[in-house]
Amino acid sequence: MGHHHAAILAKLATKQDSCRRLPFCDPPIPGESLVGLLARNVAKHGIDRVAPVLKVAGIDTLIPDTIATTHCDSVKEIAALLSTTPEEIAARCHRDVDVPGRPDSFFEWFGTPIRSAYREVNRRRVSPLSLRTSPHHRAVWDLRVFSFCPDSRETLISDCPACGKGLGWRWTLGIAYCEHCGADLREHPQPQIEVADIDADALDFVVDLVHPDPDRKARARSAVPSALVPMGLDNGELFEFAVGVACAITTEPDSPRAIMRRVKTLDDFAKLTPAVLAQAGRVILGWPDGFHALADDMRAKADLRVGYWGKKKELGPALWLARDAYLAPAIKQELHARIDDNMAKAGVLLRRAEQRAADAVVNIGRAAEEFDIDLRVLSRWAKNGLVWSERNTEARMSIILVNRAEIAAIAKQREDRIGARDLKVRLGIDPLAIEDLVQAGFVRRHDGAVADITKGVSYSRASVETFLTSVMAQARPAAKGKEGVRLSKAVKRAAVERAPWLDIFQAVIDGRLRVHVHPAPDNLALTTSLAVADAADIAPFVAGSPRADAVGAGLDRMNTHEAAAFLMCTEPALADFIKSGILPTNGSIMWKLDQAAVEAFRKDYILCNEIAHRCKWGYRFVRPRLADRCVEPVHNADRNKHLVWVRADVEAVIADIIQQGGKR
Amino acid sequence: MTISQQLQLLGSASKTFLIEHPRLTEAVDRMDKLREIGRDTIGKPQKILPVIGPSGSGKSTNIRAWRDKIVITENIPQDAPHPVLHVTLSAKATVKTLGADILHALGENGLPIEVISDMLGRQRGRRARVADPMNDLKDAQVMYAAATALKIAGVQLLALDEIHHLVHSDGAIKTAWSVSETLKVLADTGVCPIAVIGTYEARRLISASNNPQFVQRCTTPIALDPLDISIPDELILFAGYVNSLGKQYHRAGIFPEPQNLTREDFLACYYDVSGGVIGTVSRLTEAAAEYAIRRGAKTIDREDLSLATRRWAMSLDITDHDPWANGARDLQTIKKRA
Repeated sequence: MGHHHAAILAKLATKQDSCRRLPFCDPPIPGESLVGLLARNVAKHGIDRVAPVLKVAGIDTLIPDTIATTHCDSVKEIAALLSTTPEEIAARCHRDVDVPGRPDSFFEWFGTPIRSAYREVNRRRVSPLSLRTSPHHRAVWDLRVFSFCPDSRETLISDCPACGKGLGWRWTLGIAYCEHCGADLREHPQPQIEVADIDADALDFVVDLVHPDPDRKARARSAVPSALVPMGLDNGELFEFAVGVACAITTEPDSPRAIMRRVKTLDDFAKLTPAVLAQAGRVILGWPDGFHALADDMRAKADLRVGYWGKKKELGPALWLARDAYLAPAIKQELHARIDDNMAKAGVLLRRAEQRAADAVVNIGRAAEEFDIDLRVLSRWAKNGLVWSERNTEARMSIILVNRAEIAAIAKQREDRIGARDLKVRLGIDPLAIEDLVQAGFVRRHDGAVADITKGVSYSRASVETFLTSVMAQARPAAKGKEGVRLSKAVKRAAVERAPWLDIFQAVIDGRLRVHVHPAPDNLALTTSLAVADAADIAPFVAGSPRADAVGAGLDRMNTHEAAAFLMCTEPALADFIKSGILPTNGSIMWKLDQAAVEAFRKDYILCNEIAHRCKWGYRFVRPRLADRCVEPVHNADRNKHLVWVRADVEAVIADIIQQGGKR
Repeated sequence: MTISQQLQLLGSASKTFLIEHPRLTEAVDRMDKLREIGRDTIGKPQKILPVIGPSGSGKSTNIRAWRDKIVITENIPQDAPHPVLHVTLSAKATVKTLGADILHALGENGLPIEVISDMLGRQRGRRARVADPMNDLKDAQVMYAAATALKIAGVQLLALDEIHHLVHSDGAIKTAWSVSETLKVLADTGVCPIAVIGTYEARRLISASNNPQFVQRCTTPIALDPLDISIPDELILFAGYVNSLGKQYHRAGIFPEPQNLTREDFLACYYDVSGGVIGTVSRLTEAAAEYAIRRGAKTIDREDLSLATRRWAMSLDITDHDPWANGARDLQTIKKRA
């Protein structure tokens, strides 16, 4: 400033000191922002900079944008400057409000606490069409959440349409003008929201929650659904909720997050379109059905979300909402309750036990503990599909859920189990005969999971007892002094290749074969405790039994018991044959031998047992005597055990021996 | 009444003497009419009324008196802005100082000094609205603010006094031109009608050869030339003025008796000293009255006027002749000096 101006200022100072205000201020308009009121009157006085005017009120700042928050204590001075009442100014100031337990700072917005992040401070956002009605700045335009003017439903602009520069507050030519190029913003109307496309009532509800007009606030309060009324939420909390719901709606379904991203940047706010806000408003207005509709939307996109289990997968952002730090605790509690409702309604499986409605489905570990089943066994069932199970198939590791009732049923059947060996002892018959009984339906063999509890074969004890009872019912007491012949002995005397126990027991049950209880059985086995009067009694049932039926007709696979019985060897021997590769398996665990393979083995090879029986040699003579005839075993796995000869060679020797007539 | 009391009364009362100068009455009538038309056509181009007269011809005094009269006749409240704004232009006036002067004159209804100071300190003009009628004022923000203040304060006539301050001795024609341009814009944009008041130096401003644009907006100028007593009408005006001046001294209570200032050859002598400029008559009489009071006399006598001429008028180079002692000279000699 030159010396010349200093002289003028000195002259002015004598008189101008009496002027401590803007002399011709227009009164504040309801709903007008403080900086808007200031700028409007500054421009009215032909002044284009706001800062020097504030200096008159003792506010020394270059940033008038923020006076509503930074100079709440200068209410009287600002009121005097603008020739209005301190109450009018105080109502437009935004003091900090302490809302305990929330991460962000809050400020008072016309009586409602609102998050500071929602207020646009530096940019002047205007609606040209509303400016045509009245060229003043509506405070509600400062809320970044709204991209539109609630009155004109026009999209707000914060850049000049003519020169493209950002509109601000430091310079002003009036609210309706661009301070950079002087363009009249009213000549640049923006697109309006198509009211037909959106839920106007719901949108109005969201706007009304924080509208500076107390009547509209009250209108919003009266629209709060009865389900939410008892929580005693204030407008700010409801608004926060609406914004949260809008954020949940705009979150991409495949967003890799565990906590919802709240609106933060301008791009975030741009996503809060009127349609989204209206949808959020409808969720609240239609509580709780509105929430379920939202949850269903989320669920429809569940496939896009990572993860597998439960709420997070199903509801995604709707669940995050319940964990949102900015929402009131009462709302979060309510959300959790509604999410549980929704999950129950949808019948979706939940991973966490405390979130599952009933104990219908349990964790595999818990089931193992409860029913005392080996966890590895249970997981094998689940893996092999023996029981129903659910796991995250995409994950390397996952918890496995099983049906508790199903496991309980299996556990119950476990009590009813009798092992193959025990049954063999109890009945005193060979495993092939037991298989015949199973085929005939006298004894029920466990299958599936129950059979898998132990690796062996097991049978239903109850069916065995029934079978025993029905057989024993036909047995008369022994006649005095006549022991008769034990069934086992009688069958042995028949010297058949394979004892037809099924036919014999069938005949006993039908009454065709008369049996009595042996007075002094050697053991508990059924076949030794029953006796026939004469060994010949069983002849009709033994003679006609065909060989072909022996190996469990219709079964194409055998387990090691059956195969061992069929080959008349021990199970360790069989295991040895498998190990050495001369008996091929089908690769499965239980029924690992194909019948065809076993029969081929029997056809190609002959074992020690059979040779001993047929030649009536003692076991220990089998090898040397065959060696004398130049027949050596083709396989001896473990020194002199489990010897195998080629059947063709041995059959020739046997035929020769028989020809020589009993010189064995 | 003691002498000191009398002198005090003289000091205060003589400033308030309002003797209706017939030429000034015409000027006030014209300004009244200008204001009236302006009020009806506000927002439309307004006229500029030049009032040119020598220093001491009562221009400023009359405007002040006129403003006071308006307050009474139109019953304007104390704190309301006056419909006629009397602005005295600062020396070495520029567009910026013109704006500052207007805001200064508006006082409470102007702008706070912080704001004016900010605007005066600017190197650059203001950002202009498109299609703003006052867009041409954008170069000096303070002038724009002053024009806006004139509008919103409802000023119906801007009386711009000492307009000759625009004519700089250093020949800064450009500044004067830009100020007169500014006034032209004020009138054109319909802010208010303007009366520009100044001495003969201001004639350069309202000359068609210098500033035709400005002249286009001017109405017939009022020239407050000295009265020429060779013209009978003006002789009557001059005599009437001197006569009523004498009565004012009695009416104000400075002298107990009415003063007859037209006795003997007083009229001729008055004309000799003043050359027809009534402001000089008034001030000469005031000086003489002081000597009369100090003397303890009840009337202003020849010796008082002679002393006043020598001590006041001659030392200020208003005249080089004391007609009271030596006799009035003839008209030709007097006019030659003027």
